[in-house]
Formats: sequence, structure tokens, C-alpha cells
Amino acid sequence: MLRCKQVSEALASVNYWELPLRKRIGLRLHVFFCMVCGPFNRFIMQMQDTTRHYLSHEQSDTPSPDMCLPKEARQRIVDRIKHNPDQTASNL
Amino acid sequence: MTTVEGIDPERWVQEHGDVMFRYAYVRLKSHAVAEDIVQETFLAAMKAQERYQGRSSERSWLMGILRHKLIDYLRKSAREVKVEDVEEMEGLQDSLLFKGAGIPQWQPPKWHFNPRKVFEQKEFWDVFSSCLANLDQRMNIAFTLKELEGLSTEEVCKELGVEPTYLWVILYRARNALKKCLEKNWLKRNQGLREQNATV
Repeated sequence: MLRCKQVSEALASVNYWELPLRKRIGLRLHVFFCMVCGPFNRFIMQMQDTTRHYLSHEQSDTPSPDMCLPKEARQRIVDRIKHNPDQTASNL
Repeated sequence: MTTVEGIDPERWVQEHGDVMFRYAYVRLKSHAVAEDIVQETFLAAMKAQERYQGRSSERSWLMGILRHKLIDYLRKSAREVKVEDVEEMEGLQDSLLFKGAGIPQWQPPKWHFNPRKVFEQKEFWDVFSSCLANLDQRMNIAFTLKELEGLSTEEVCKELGVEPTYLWVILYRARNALKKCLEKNWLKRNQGLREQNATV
């Protein structure tokens, strides 16, 4: 049976979802039933879970307009790539 | 085997520029630095294009280069971030979240909504990325290196020059700030939508 200290230390050093399945089950059971460390460690697990889902969306979702590359920067980067001295003309 | 299609700068920037910029901006909190690092990534990718063997998508390949550049940048920034006064640091460590038995002294307030229920809504992740970008610089660096980029506790502590217990406090503060920001902005957004619908 896991103790509060072991659960708290485990969640402090690694993300819950990186643990092996067996450890995850034991940890989840403890956190679900424990009246002492449960609410706190549930919060840590929720935030880790939310962050993990964010990462899976981050590279595929289209960013909102305020998070897009500004038009001027876009053009500047294109120009910079086109005029990159390391780039041979045949690739362009 | 796929390779990078003939380099067309417009296509590259069109297809990947926005996603790369958001990735960098959320972690760096600066438009100018994010733009620079995206540009540097494209230039590095052009140099390295012959080494791209198509084992991953073009997007993943570019994101891999961006990630390395970004971690390098954050490592350098971490050394420049002022660590709080020793007195404050000691105060924080005294009021550690855990008593000896690992029992938290702080109990988090309940969520005002269930985040899991909104995971499928793209708008929630827009709010999440804005909240990440709004974290204070030290929290942002610690959270980015540990939670987003998956560096070990030892590595992050070394970069920030802090003890593991102190890192834990910074991460706790970052999570708490993130939760507050998510609740405030997500609920505000939904309230705005309800008001809009009521007036239609």
C-alpha cells in the first residue's frame, strides 16, 4: 500500500502518465480514496493530464489569430530564406 | 522514402510558420524572440535538408529543430533569471507544501468547471496557450523545461540553479497560476458567448 509521501514524491519527480501502468493504478487508487493527500495530488494529476493533452493539440491545431506569425515577420522570414547565402539557387 | 519537397520558402512559412511561432511564443513570451527563433529554425532546416530522411513528417522534423533551439535559448535565459532573495527562498522552503509525512499543507480549491469535458474544444487550448504565455518568467521557464519539454528534475534544477524542493514550489505556483487563468478566461469566454446568444 502506498503512503502519502511516496505518492507526493512520485508526482513531484515524474508525470503521472509516464509511470508504468501498475504504478499508475496504485497511485490513482491512493489519490482517489485518500482524504489527506487526495485533493492536492488530484490537482497535480489534473494539471499534468491537461498539459499532456495540450501538447497533443499543439502541433496540429491551427493557432488563434493572436498567436499567428505576424504578416511582416512572415514576409521577412521568406525573404531571409530566399537570400540565405548558404542556400544554393538550385533549391529555390 | 519521402524527402523535403523542393524548398519553397512561401510554402514552408505558410504551412508551418504559425504553429512554430505559437510553440515558440508560448515558451518565450516575446514576439520578437519567437520570430527570430522561427527564422533560425527555417535557416537551419535548409542547411540540414540533405540529412532529412523522411522518417517523420516535415512538420515534426521542423518542430524537432525548433525544440532544440528553444531549449538552448531557455537554458541560457534560465541562468540570467534572478533567483528570489535568499530570505524569500528560505521562507518558501520553510512553508513547504509538505509536512514530513508527505501530507500537503495546502488544499487546492475545486475547479469551477471540469477541464476534461472541454478537451475536445479547440478554443480551450487557445485559452491554455495564452495562459501559458502569461506565466511569470521564472515559472514559465521552469514549467516549459520540466512539463512541456520533459527535462528531468535534475536538469531543470541545474539550469535554474535551485534545489529540487524549490523547483517543486515554482512548479506548484505555475500550476496554480495556470488553473486560475484557465478558470477566469474560459468562464469569461463562455459567459460572453451566452450573452451574445441571448441578444440574437
